[in-house]
Amino acid sequence: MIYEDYIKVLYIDLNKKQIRIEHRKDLKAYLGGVGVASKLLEETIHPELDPLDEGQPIIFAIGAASTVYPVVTKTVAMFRSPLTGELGECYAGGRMALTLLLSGYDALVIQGKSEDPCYISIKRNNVEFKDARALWGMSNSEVGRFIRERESGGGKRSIVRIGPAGERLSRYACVCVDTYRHFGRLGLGAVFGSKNLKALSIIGDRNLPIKDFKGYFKVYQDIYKRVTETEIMAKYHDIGTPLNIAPLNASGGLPTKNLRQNAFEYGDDVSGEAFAKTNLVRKVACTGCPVGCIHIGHFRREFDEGYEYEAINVCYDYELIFSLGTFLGIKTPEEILQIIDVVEQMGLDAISAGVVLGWATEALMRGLVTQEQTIVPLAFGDAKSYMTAVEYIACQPNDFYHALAQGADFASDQYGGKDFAMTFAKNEMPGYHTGYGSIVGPAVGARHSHLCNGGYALDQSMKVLDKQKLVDAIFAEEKERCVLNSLVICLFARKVYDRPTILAALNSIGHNLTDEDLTAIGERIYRTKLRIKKSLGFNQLEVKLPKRFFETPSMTGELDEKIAYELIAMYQQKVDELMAADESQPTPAVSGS
Amino acid sequence: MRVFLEVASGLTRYTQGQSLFEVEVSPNATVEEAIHKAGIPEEALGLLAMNRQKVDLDQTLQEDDRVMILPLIMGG
Repeated sequence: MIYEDYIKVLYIDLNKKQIRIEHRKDLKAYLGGVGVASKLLEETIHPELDPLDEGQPIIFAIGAASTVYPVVTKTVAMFRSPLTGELGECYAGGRMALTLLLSGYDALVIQGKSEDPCYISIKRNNVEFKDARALWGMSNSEVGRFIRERESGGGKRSIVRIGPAGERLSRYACVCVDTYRHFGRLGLGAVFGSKNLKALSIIGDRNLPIKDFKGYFKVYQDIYKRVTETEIMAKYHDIGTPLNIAPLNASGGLPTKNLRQNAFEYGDDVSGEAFAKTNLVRKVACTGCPVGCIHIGHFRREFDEGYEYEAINVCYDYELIFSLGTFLGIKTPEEILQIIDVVEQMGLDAISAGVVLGWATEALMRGLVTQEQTIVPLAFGDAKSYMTAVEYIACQPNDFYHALAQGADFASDQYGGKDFAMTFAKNEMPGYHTGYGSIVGPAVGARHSHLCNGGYALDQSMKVLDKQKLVDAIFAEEKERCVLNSLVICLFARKVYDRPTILAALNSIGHNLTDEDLTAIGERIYRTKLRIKKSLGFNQLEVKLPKRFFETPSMTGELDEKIAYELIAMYQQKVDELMAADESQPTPAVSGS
Repeated sequence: MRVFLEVASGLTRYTQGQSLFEVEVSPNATVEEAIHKAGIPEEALGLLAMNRQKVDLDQTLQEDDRVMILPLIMGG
């Protein structure tokens, strides 16, 4: 909490329908966001229990500067991932960070399981457990509409909810936040479902005066100017991340048809420019962001015979066009938007859903499974079959779709095809086949996401592979993002939020931090994550990479499997050194206010 | 010798609005020479690609090669 010497944590017990509030001074050593969430997860996780056991916690946390400065808009969620079995960490924007801040809580810890489906209404002076039996089975949009009509506080409210996939415990079910944002990766939706928790409604309506307004406003203006006037942020607004389709397709880094190809023959037809010309109807922003990078695409759906149509708007970005487009060989923006809409309504992680279907399509092509099992004739380019298959993943009508709902790694354990089940430590791959950075980054990343350390970005800046330089850069970025995510900024603005900017921002709202403090905090957070991973049995050197990564040339040419494993071992050595230092150090002192 | 440059929409302000055009360069010229001749400032360059692969400025060119000048990959 800004200006306070404690982190205010709301503990929610779904078994007893009780809450308690703690003011944790000790957690200030973790600054906020992912630091606080990691420590709370370490305290409450049960390594001996299944990820979907009711004893496992869900942690949400906002950061040390949440929504007080431009583009500091995210909330972090941490949990034991039902998809990977290890560290679960994901981020969402929308209004959630602002409403948590203005409801007076820095973090939520949700434990236990409700006897019946429920949703939780969180207000500044009240927490209510509400009956959600009538909401069970509703899609993301339906449950959002239902709660909007029944809860007060419009404009100061965030609605966080799951769809049918979460209820049915699909291990990559997502959590939708305020319609267009998501805690997408690693299966938080299934953890909600395992607790009979359909939704959260958070209302934030208190005022939070800034003490040194003059000093604060000077820093704010500087950041605002850089956010709104730099070219990179303008790109996020104009075409947005779908801009990536063109360079990746031209340079052979665009995963296509289950990475059987590194470029898509219809790439120009599904480029960011193509979406903008034919389907883009609106751009919206998370609360506290002047950029507006959320691109809304429009398509027309026939809902009945006799020329009966409805207009559907869904958000799209690069990762969705990759996973539900190029990875499945879908040739038109219209069809990609239609698949995105089904994924959205079911409440699945879009990246995992697309990558799982890529594996399933190739498994059918190779005869590892039959059409009796897939029910629909999965084939690259066949959007209608994929839309039906997405619903089957959510509803799991047979053993095959039950396996698909556990992820590509699990499904390939059951049916074969491990070499083309495109995952990193059980988490489905993101949309970059750019070189060693795009493979080693998520393989070693704490949550096996491209966002852990941005390894793919190094592939375009590094002229010739320098193994040590690459490993050092990934390691440094992994730690630095622990700092950024303790604030919690949107990583699109990571180049704006350099160290001097972070220090100016925090110190003008009551902190007293130095550059060395931030470095120490980043390492402290990373060590906490690594301890959690170790407690859950993760061994970096046991991670196996699908052979497909080394069969299909990347943006920087063919990749050697041995070099990839060598780089991973080099990274692990740095982790071992960091953790050895951890064991020799005393309990961290509190930094800042 | 003749080579072709194809530039992304954001860079056409440096090329009189042209997105695909020819450039005459010396034999064994590099990508850098071709881009310099086209008048595109180095600081505006993003990703360079030929034949579905990333290339660097010192890449040697052959007659009729086609170099794509693209925006940098961006994301979180």
